[in-house]
Amino acid sequence: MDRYKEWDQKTNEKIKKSPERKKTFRNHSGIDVKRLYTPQDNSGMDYERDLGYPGEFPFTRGVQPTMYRGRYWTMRQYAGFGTARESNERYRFLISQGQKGLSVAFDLPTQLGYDSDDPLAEGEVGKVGVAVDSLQDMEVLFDGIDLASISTSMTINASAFVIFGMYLALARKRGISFEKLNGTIQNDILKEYIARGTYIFPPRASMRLITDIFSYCSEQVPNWNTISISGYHIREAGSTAVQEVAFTLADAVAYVESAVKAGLSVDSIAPRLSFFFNAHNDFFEEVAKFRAARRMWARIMKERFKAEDPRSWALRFHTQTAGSTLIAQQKDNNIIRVTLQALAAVLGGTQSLHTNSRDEALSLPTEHSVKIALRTQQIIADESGVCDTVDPLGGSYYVESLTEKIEHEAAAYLNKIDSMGGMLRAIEEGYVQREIQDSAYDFQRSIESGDRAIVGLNTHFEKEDAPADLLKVDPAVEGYQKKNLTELKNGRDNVKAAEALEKVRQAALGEANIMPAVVDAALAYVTLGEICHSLRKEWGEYQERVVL
Amino acid sequence: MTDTGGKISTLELARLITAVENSEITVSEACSRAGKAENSFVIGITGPPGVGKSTLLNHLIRDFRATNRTVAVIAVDPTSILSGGALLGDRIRMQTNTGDRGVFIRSMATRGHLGGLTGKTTEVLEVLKSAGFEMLIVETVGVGQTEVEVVRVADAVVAVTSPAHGDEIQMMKAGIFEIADVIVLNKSDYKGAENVMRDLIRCAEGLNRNGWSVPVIRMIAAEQQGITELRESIDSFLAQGGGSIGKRSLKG
Amino acid sequence: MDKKMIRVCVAKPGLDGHDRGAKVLARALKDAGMEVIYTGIRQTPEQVAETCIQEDVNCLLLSLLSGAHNHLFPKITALLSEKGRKDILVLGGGVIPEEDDEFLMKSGIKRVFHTGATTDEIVAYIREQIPS
Ligand SMILES: Nc1nc2c(ncn2[C@@H]2O[C@H](COP(=O)(O)OP(=O)(O)O)[C@@H](O)[C@H]2O)c(=O)[nH]1
Ligand SMILES: [Mg+2]
Repeated sequence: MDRYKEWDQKTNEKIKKSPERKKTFRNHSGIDVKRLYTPQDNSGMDYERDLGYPGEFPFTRGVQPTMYRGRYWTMRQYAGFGTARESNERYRFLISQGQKGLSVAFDLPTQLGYDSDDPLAEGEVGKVGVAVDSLQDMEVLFDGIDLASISTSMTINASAFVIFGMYLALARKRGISFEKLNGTIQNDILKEYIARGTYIFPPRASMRLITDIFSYCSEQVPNWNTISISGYHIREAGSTAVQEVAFTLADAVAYVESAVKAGLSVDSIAPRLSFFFNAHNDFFEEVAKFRAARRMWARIMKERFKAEDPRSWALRFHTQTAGSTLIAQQKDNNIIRVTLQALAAVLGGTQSLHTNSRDEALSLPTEHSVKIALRTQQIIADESGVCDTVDPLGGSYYVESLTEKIEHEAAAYLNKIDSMGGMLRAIEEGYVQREIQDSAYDFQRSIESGDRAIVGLNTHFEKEDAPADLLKVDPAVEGYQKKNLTELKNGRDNVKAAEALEKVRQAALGEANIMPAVVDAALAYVTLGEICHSLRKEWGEYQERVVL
Repeated sequence: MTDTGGKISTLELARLITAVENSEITVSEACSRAGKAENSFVIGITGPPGVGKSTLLNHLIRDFRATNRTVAVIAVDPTSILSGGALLGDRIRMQTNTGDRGVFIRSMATRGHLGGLTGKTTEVLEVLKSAGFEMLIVETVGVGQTEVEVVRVADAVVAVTSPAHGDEIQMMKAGIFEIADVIVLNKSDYKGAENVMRDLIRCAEGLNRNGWSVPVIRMIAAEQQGITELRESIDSFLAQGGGSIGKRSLKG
Repeated sequence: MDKKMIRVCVAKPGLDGHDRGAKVLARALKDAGMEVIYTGIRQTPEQVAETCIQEDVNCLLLSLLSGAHNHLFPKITALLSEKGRKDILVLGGGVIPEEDDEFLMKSGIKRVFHTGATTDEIVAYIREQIPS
């Protein structure tokens, strides 16, 4: 009899007397976790075919040959609140603390294409990010920061074409050539429909804006990452790790298909696609998730889309630790959660990382909390030794088996979505949303029933005082932005602004790329709200698909 | 635009409906408190979940308002057999102008009643009529013959299907064709719409009832296409006598 | 089936699209035997108030994660009392710092549920406040 079976039987006898902690052990995706993994669990694996070497197809072990032996990941803390001036101060602080890339958070009116003086913006201005109404705000936001020497990541989606247009306008005004610009716009509308909710236009118009950006950048802004296809928010909305991989890649497939349909070649756009994942609590599941995503994408690009450029095969990604796992109770414990999640991201081979601050379940993070979060990354990098070899967990029987399992289950989702006619249809039919909601509901039930332990919440809790020293956004921001807008509209050349706006509208109605007109409009100080309002009239607005 | 003439406030009407739903008050009592009925029509909109009924309804409401008629909607969703609770989400798609007193929308759960309607639909319709609403629309989930009770209360029945609901089309053919006065093929932007359309037209051809030939309307509700055509079909059906034209045996 | 039903409106005022909590809660309330009217995201205070009136709900749950609660919640309660529905049990939830509770309760929010509150807790609270 084989030794494994022998051992297993013996152990099963033993646990009759002293049982294990639980009858079954399951990870977040519902995958059964075995007592022990052995080479038998990897028997279907072919090293050269399924793992290969870092920097080579199928990139399971990493997208660069030397990984963190060459250079650490980019430590990139998402920040932005209140006015452009306040955010600018926070950016300069972060740069002074050793951060290399900026990550800009915008307030909801900006994300939804409303100016700060719009009635719908009331109470929201500057709350979850910085308010940007026009090029003027952009000038202040990046005051004293050299656009050519930093990489800027902007969490902006439905209104990305305008905000990015303003960023380009700023570069042009400062005489910086577009080739020198580095950074990322999120620009991922599909996950907005699925999970995050900041959409404006219906799918067809939105997809067109995205392909316009792809094509404009491939010619004009070659080092810009034109999209950050995001599983992060899908996971935050309650999906499992498998669903996060599956739906993110399904979104990616939809973008590539739409670009190809618009006449772009796969290899002209794919190298600029980037991804954005969540780092959640289940440590090994997360590491395996990142590795599985990389392998799947490489295969999809090579086999399905026939991409030839190796850069088109490589899935590069940013990671943020899971905001939804942070709790208000005993908030300092969040630092430890973030540490574990960050470590999973690093062992999963991330290209950049945002570590959440301990107080994010309560409010915007204070400067002190942000510093701890950044130091967490620096400690992992400089002290833990995990960066000294590539993919240190590669070859673990458990991790390789999980990687394969996640790939397998995610692939089943991708097939299902293909059979529904693609991701757009699956979203319109509410399929994707329902899958996520079911997982979210199960997750909540498992916490409430005590099946899933959360320290400080359903186990090891203690009475504590209301937390102090939270950061509050000054409500005066709204008035300040409004005043600026009025002054702007009185001070600018309104004939020129109206002409520029009309050109954007014409471009939107026609076939030509919309970006040149948007950059010109930004230079004429046409506001974000003016542009989006004009296009809302032409294209209408998306209505959410709610499945309950 | 007309409104309900201020006979009864929205708040009072809403409360009367609750009282009727909970059998705390008789219908005649509720009606006399609600006011006096205008000339009114009941339109039933039925079809499988997700086919686009609420989306279509949202535009139809606007269209009726634009032609100066008041509209009341009852949106019916099933009650869970297990818990007795219900999730009512149809309003999400019906975002009318707030403050327009000419529109009233009420979500109702079936509360154990079978047949696609609630046990109190007829009664609540009477109350809404008494409150002076002219176009009364009932949205119900229906795919087969057992779920088309709507025909009992409606002067005109609109059956909605889509290319994405291929499996249900077979069932529709069995059940809904007998009761539909107007057929809508929504989501005509989907692949395969041409074929389904042809199929539906063929089926509808046999449905000439006392001079009314059942139209099949091609629609993309999400893009407002086909709405006016639907409104006009409903209007001309009602003008010809509505439910009294060859009403079906189902009507009890 | 003619007993009095608890009818709850779960509403998302403001611009944030984080509806995970609102949807999980809506489902839990349904599973607890209540009739739940879910509004969808991005509702104006006027829309929320109108829904509550037309649907004749006994309870309104407001979920907001953008930080605009101090501005939007009082607007909604004011509209409700203006329209004669001061009696509705209005509850708040989302990302709301405890230090804002007092202000919100003064403006007519009966209770604020903070991150970590369970759906069981909320169900129990509604049942206790609205005896059927
Ligand atoms: N592509 C497309 N989607 C539509 C159309 N009409 C409705 N939808 C979408 O279908 C989904 C379900 O619509 P809904 O009105 O809630 O369906 P109901 O369950 O029948 O009331 C929503 O996401 C709508 O936006 C259409 O004509 N074309
Ligand atoms: Mg509906």
